[in-house]
Amino acid sequence: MADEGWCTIESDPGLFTGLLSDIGVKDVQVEELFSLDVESMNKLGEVFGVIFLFKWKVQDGDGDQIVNGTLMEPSSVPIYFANQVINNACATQAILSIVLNSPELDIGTELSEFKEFTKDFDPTMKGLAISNLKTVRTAHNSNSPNQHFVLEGMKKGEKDDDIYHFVSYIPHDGSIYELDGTKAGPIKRGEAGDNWIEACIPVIQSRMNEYSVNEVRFNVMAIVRNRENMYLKEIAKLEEEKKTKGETEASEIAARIAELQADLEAERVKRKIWKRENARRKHNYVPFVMELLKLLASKGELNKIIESAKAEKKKRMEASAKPES
Amino acid sequence: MTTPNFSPRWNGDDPMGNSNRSILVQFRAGRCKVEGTTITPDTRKGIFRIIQDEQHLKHVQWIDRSNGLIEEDYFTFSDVDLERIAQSSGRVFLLRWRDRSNKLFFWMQETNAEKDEDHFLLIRQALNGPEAGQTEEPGPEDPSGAVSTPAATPAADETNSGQQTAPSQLTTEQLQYILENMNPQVSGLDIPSVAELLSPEVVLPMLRDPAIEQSLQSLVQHLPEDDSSPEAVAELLSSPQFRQQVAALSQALQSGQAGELLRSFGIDAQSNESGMVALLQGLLRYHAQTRSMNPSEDNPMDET
Repeated sequence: MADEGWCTIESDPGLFTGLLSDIGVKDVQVEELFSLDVESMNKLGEVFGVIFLFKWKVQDGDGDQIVNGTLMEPSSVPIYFANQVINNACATQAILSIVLNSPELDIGTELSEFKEFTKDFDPTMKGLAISNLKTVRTAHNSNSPNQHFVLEGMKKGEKDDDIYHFVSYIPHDGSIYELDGTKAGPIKRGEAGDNWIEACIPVIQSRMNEYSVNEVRFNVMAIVRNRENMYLKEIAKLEEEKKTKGETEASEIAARIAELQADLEAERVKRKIWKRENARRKHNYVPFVMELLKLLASKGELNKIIESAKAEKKKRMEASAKPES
Repeated sequence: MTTPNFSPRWNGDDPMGNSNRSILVQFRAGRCKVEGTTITPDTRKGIFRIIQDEQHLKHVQWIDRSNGLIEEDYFTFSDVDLERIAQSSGRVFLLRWRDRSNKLFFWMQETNAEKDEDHFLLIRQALNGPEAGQTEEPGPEDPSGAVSTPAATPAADETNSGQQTAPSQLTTEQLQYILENMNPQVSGLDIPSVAELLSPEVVLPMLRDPAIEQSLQSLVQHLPEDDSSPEAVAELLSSPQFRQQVAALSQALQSGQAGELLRSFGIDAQSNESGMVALLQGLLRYHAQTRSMNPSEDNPMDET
C-alpha cells in the first residue's frame, strides 16, 4: 500500500516552495544555502528548519551508530518523528518533519488534522500514514518528470537512481535535533543557544565531514518566512516610523526602505521564475512530444532528425573522449 | 532472433539462421571500451565480422562468443575507414565512420598475429567493395614496412570505394528496413531515444523550417500557457523541466510496452513492437498514411 507510487522529484527551492503551498502551509518559502557561514545564515530571518541533502550510499548511511549526538527514544521527546518507509518520498518527508514541528506555522486544516490524528502513532506508523496521505502525495508527484506515463512492463527506477537522502534540523526546547527517517528516533545534536541557526552550522558541518571523502553532492536548504511578505511588512513598518522622525533620521529610514524595495523586487523576479519553472514541471508534455513527432513524420523528416540526433550524439561522445592516446 | 549457445566454431555459419546474408569477413576479436582518453579491452572472447544482408546493407557486428549474442550491430551507410592503433601494445584497430557518426575499437584475439594483415585486407574489401581487394594490394596500415607487399596510398584506398559508396543520408526506406529487422533485445542498437531526437540541437533547426513553423501553431495548445510564443517554445525545449520529462519518457519507452500510450495519440503501434521501435514504426506508418491522404504534403495536418 505504501508503495502506491511516489515518484522521484528534483531538489529545488522553487519546487519545494510550490510544494509547501500545495500542501497548505502558508507564508513560507524554501531558500537554498550556498555557503554555511554566519552571515548568510543570519540573512535568512526566521528559520523553521534546515534540510540537509546528500547522495546516499547504503553502506555508510546505515546503522544506528551516532557520532556527536544522542539518539532519543521517540516517545521521550514531544517531537513529531516519522520513519521513512519509501525512498522517493524523503524530500517531502523532510519538509513535513519541519513544518509538523513548527507550532508557529499555519499548516492548514488538513495537515493540522493529520498531525492530531497520528500524533500517538509510533515512528513506523507515522511514516506509513505520511506515505498514504493523498494530498501530500499528489502534490509531490505533480512535480515529477514521469508522473504522466507509467508503461506496462516498465521497470521501477528506484534501485539505480541516485538515491538522495534528506535529513532535517529543527530547534526544540533549547536544543538542535536532527530528524533522519532512517534512524530510530530524533538525534539531539547540541544546544541551540540564542541563535539556533548559527549553532546549526557546526552541526551540519560535522555531519558533512562524515561523508565528505567521496561525496561532493551536498545541498542545504532552509524553510523560512515568505520573503515577499516579510519585506512588505518591514517596509510598511519603516514607512510608519519615518513619519514620526526628524529630517535626518527620516532620510536614513528612506534609504533603508529603498534597499528593501530592491530586495522585494529581486524576490518578485525570483518568484516569477519559480512560478514558471513549476508550471513547466507540472505540465504534461507527452501530447506535445507525440504531436511534434507526428508533425515531423508527416513532413517526411523523421529520417533527418534521426540522422541529426546520431550526429549530435557522436559529437558529444567525441568531445568527452579522445581515445587515441 | 539470436541463438544462445550456438556453435563456437566459426565457419561462416550465420547465427541469424538466414542464408540470404553473406559474411564478408569474420575473425576472433574483442571489443574495447573507451573511457575518457583511455581504451580498455573488454576481456570477453568475441567475434568481429562484417556481413551483407539481403538488402545489400553492410553491418559491422560484434558477437560475444560465450553466449552467441550479437552485442554490436551497426549499419555502414557512409564510408568507414580502418585504422590500426600504433601506440597500443596489443593489436588494436579502429573503425571510423567518415561522416564522424561512429567509431569502434577492437582488439585481435586470433593467436597468429601474422594473419592480422590478411584480416585487415578483408575488412577493407568488405567495407569498400570487392574491387578494393582485387585491384589493390594490402593497405598502408603499417608504415614500418613489415608487410612485404607494396603498400597502396591512402588516397587510392579512398577513391577505390567510389562505386559502393552509399549515400550517407539515411532514407525513409532504409529506416523502415532497419526497424523491421531490428531485434530489440540486442543492445547497442543505433536508434536514438526520444530525448536525443528532441534535443534542442536537433529539433530547433527543424522548427525554423517555414513549412514546419507554420504547422507548429497547432501544437502550442499542448504547451503551458506562458510558453506559447515561438521564442518561448525554443526556450522551453531547452529548459531542464522539459528535458527531464522527455528523458523520463525516453526511459519509459525503452523499458516498457508503449503500445497503449502510442495508440492514444493515433500512432499505430503493433503489439509485437516495443519501445522506440514501436514509436518509430508507428510514425512511419503515420507518414505513409498522411502521404496517401495528402500527397502534396504541404498542408498542415489536421490534428484531432
